[in-house]
Amino acid sequence: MAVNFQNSFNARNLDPKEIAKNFIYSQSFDVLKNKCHTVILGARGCGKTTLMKMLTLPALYNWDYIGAHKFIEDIPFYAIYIPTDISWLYKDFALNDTKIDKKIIDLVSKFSVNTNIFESVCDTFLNVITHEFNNDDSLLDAEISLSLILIDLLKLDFDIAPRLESIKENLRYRRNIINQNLSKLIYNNNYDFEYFDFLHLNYIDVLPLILDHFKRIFEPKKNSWALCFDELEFAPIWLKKQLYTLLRSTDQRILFKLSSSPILPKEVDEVLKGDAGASLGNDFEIIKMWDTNSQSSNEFSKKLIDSLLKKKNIRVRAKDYFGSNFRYLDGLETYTTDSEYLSQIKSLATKDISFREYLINKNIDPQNPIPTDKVQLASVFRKIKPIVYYRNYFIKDNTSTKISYSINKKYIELYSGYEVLIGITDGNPRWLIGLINSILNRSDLHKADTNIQYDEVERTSNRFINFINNTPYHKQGSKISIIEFIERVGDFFKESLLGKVFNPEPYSSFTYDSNIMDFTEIIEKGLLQGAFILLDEGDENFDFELNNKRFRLSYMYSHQFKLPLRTGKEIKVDKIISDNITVPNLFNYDEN
Amino acid sequence: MMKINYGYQITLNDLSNLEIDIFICANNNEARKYCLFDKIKRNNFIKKSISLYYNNVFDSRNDLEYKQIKKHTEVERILDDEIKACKKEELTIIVDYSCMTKSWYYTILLYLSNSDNAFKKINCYLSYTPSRFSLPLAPKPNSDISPLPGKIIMPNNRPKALILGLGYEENKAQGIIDQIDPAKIFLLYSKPTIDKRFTEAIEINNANVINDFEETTYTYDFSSLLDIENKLRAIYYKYNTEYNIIISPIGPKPFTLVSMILSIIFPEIEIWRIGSGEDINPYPREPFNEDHFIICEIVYKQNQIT
Amino acid sequence: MNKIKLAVVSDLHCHPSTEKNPSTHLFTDLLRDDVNLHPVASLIEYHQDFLKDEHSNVDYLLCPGDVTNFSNLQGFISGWDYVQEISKMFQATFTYATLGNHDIDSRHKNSKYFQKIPKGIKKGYPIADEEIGTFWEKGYTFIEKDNLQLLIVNSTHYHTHHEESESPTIKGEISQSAIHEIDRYLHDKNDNSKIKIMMCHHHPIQQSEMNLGPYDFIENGEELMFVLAKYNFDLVIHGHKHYPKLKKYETDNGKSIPVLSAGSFSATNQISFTSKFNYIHIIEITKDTNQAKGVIKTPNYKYQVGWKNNSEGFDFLTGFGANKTSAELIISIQEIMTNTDVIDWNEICETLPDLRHIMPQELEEIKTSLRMVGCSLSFDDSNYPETIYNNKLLRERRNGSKFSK
Repeated sequence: MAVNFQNSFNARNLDPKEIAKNFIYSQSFDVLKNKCHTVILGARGCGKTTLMKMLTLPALYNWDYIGAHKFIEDIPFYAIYIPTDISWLYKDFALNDTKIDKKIIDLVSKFSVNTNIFESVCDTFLNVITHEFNNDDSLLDAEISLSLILIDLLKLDFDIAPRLESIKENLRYRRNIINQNLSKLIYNNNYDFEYFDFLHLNYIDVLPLILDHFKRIFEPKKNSWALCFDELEFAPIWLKKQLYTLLRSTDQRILFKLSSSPILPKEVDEVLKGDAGASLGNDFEIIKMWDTNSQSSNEFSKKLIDSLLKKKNIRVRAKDYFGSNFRYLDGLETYTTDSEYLSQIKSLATKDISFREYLINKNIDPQNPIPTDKVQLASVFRKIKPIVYYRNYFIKDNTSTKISYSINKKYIELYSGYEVLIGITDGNPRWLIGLINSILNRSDLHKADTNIQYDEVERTSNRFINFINNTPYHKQGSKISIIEFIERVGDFFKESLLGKVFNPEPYSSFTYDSNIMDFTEIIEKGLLQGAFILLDEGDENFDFELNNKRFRLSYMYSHQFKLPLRTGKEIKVDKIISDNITVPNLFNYDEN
Repeated sequence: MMKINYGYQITLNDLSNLEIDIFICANNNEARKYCLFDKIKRNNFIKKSISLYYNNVFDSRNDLEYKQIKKHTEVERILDDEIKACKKEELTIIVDYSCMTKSWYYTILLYLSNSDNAFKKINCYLSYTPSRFSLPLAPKPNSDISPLPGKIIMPNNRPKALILGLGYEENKAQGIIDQIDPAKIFLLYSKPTIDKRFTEAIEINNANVINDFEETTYTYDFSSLLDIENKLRAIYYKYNTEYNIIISPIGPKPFTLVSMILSIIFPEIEIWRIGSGEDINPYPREPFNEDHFIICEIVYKQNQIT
Repeated sequence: MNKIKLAVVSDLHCHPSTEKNPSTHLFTDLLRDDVNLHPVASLIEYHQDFLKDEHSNVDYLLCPGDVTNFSNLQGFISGWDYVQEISKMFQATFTYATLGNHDIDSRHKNSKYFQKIPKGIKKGYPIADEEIGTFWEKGYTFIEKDNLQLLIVNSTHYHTHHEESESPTIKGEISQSAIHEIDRYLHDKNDNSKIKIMMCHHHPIQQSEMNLGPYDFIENGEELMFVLAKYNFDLVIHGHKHYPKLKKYETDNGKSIPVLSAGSFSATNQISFTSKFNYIHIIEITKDTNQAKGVIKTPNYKYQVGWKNNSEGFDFLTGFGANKTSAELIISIQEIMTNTDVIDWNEICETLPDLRHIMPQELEEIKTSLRMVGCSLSFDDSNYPETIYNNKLLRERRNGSKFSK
């Protein structure tokens, strides 16, 4: 079957046992298991859901890892996994789009969330009972006792069977009742909405009681529970505000593990900044699923690639299997006259007059470009290395008034090799698994041909770009669309790298100031989808704001805009997008 | 509330000698918009004929009343006014949805199902005039991927199964798959259809997505509502206990209609749309054949169980 | 005590896939590569998975008609082959069928004589030659076994000819003289120790759903039922409607007979937007001291899903022949539950065996009454009761237990 990115690895749709089979242990997981509130941030597909689901008992007990047993013992809580998804967002929009009274909408919105939480709690109870207790009559008695209490506390029908499965079923049935009520309300002006008493249940009040009863009846090994709210970008605002407020809670029975996109809505941001706001470091820990210097995300990618090779019974080392791309190797190049890099310098110097002038200005002989000392080696030679390679690859002639470019249909040497594969998906497991599996499906057990690697990198990049382009976006008035924004930024960076004048520090990142031009929605959507990567300083003082933050395009755009996998100098994005700057089309032919 | 009791696919000949309480169609620049109306008005008694329009009226006829609809909820208001004026036990309504936007005819179906009324029976005829083939234009960017308005379903924790009715514009299918991120994906497209060029265009423009989901790609007979229903039901029955079923009909309207009706019969089914807002491609839509209509009769009866 | 097990396979409507407006899932030319698309292949798989441990052989396979569709010749031949394949799967000792309105060529499309094709199928259709008796001649026949008296009625016996414009779903019929003969026969051979069953195609009593028309029951059917009740018939099985139903028919002589309207084995839905599935019924009947009790299992088939044990459209597990009324059973259960907090349904059936032989409506009454006295039920995957909980007692006991506060 063709590898597609839907079935490649989508943690949302996998049950915890399946997630455990493919799980790669990381430092982020270590942090997540701490007995404290945690916020985990990252784009779609970056692995947040995987981490959250791995905390659950079915995943932990199916984890084929030498340290799993100790990990299970050490983890100080039982995880209650609560998913959200895009339906949540649209349900709220849909409700607000009707003539239904706002009070009812709020009530129903809260009911919906509470019901899902209660259902997840029942699932977790069943998991604890299954995995940590022996199945005998006393267990049945205990479940019946607990169920009777739940029936009371959750105001369920008295005549349901006192079993956790029946409780779940009844909770589902309640949703149907409310759906019907809402339909009647929408289409009948005279209909009186039925205010069932269960609509007023609030998990904040009820859950501690429920957990205490469970503890009393079952005497489980652990005393704490972690509510793991996943994909909160889809949750209603009131819930987000509530959860971020609850990060100040000191009740050790209930911990909050929240996952979200890196940028929070303004309303939530205000909660954090308020007097009663939770503070990073004191009240909660943060896990950022992106990394500025790419080290840890590369380490994760390497482990993931190793595991994929192992699954295919490929015994060759990954680096040997895919081959190295010397453009990305540090420290191995030599600076003797016959070295590959210095040949590149010489070659470029003959066809790019702006580069030749640059070398001369730096007191480097274009025909014999040997570094004079270590300072020059670091500040010039190492720094301009990818620029040299790329300009030499793409530029045909830049000795006259007009620059001309080589007609290359494929850029195999630039976009293949181990180092490219590690970096190009920015550590996003879903895209990485899809890419590597596509290559492996077409390769044998010994080596992956660079042609094939390139083809799959191109295909995956196009698929990613299509994914971003398909993101719905309401273009307001004369503002640009997300596609146009990315194209302008990408073309600008391309021009900076491959333009007429050699630039030793081409732009490849941008900063944003909403006071100058408002692209908030574009950047938020782009961050969530993974089109943009947030570049912070690795500072623990993360403030969730967009303003004055630095971003780059995902490396998945590298192929489209002919950019190296490298983060460079920044520019204010309004300077790119403003109407005064026109970006030339550097390549005047159809490259596809 | 009323319940859909049953339905039949009928022919134009069956629409004769009827007393029609309301006839509703849509007004735009498509050539087929009044094909059915002109056929049936001669041998039926139509009490009220309404032509709904969004921004502009493209014609002016004495035998139609024109009503502007800016939002789907306005369709409810029109039905409220017209239906409440009807003091009968049995209501007969004909909807020509050929030129209607999805939210309009979905609202009509939902309204008939959910509004309280005194009718013992409602005979609702839904007609579609197939059009001649025209080449697909370059797709407009997606501005909106969301559930069709008019029906609210409380979200739950189950994974999603997405059933896509493919159309012949590129990227729409991929867009909704990416947005919803379902656990299961099923593709359906029309084959055979009245003009094989439609099918060819669908297969070419959706080649990538059909290739990705080949094992769960099925075809249906464009002209057979029962065939469409059976194909959708088969998927529903297999997966509805474990998955939330979402149908996104981005192709021919008969498929959309059957999907909508099933979403009323099975309330947990959601219908999602992919739109480009007001920036839509204008197709001329000449009628395929002046006597060719796909007509569905559905009968609503009072729901005995409350 | 007499005991028999039978399978009922009705209304296949088999025909080639090339026919316009397909009426069946079971085409004559259907491949079996995807088991869930083939009702017979799927049934074989279901039989292996679910029934093999339950002594799944049957003594008789009954087919109440409409093997083919609109008298399609290939449909008839293949359809009967499918019936025999199912019979073999069940290791049925005997297979009996009767004619449905689709099995006769009343419009003379394929022949000049309306029964030419059914008579030409042979291979034991509808009844083995040595047992055919008066079936062709009089429109009915009796099959006598040690433990069974089976009356097979051909309700299409009088469908000799109809014009193109007439509807094929016309009435069944049995003549008054035939009823009189049946009465005499049963008078002479009235052995109440035998299990007595009547099979026909059309429904012998009036019923109407879905605007199909209340008119195509058997003319003189009520009189026939009166006679059957007089001689304590235990069960009537018919086809034609495609909607499975089990109910008691009360005759004017104060007796009642369970009537099973068999679901269709493989016909497709010809009416849109109705939830109709396909069914097979496996019935176990025991008769002791002249009282027959039955248990009916009815798996259902959905296209692309296959055969499953669920209660959609018809309860998977139901029965007939209970001595006690539902009211009496309710009282008995309530007495048991007075001091019982949790009990399995199977356990309570050991004490009250009639619970296995109650009809769907009676089971609903019991469920409702249990709820009213503070009890609750859990159900298995086929939606059959599994456990009764006395919530009221459980709450009271919980307050004194180690699990209380």
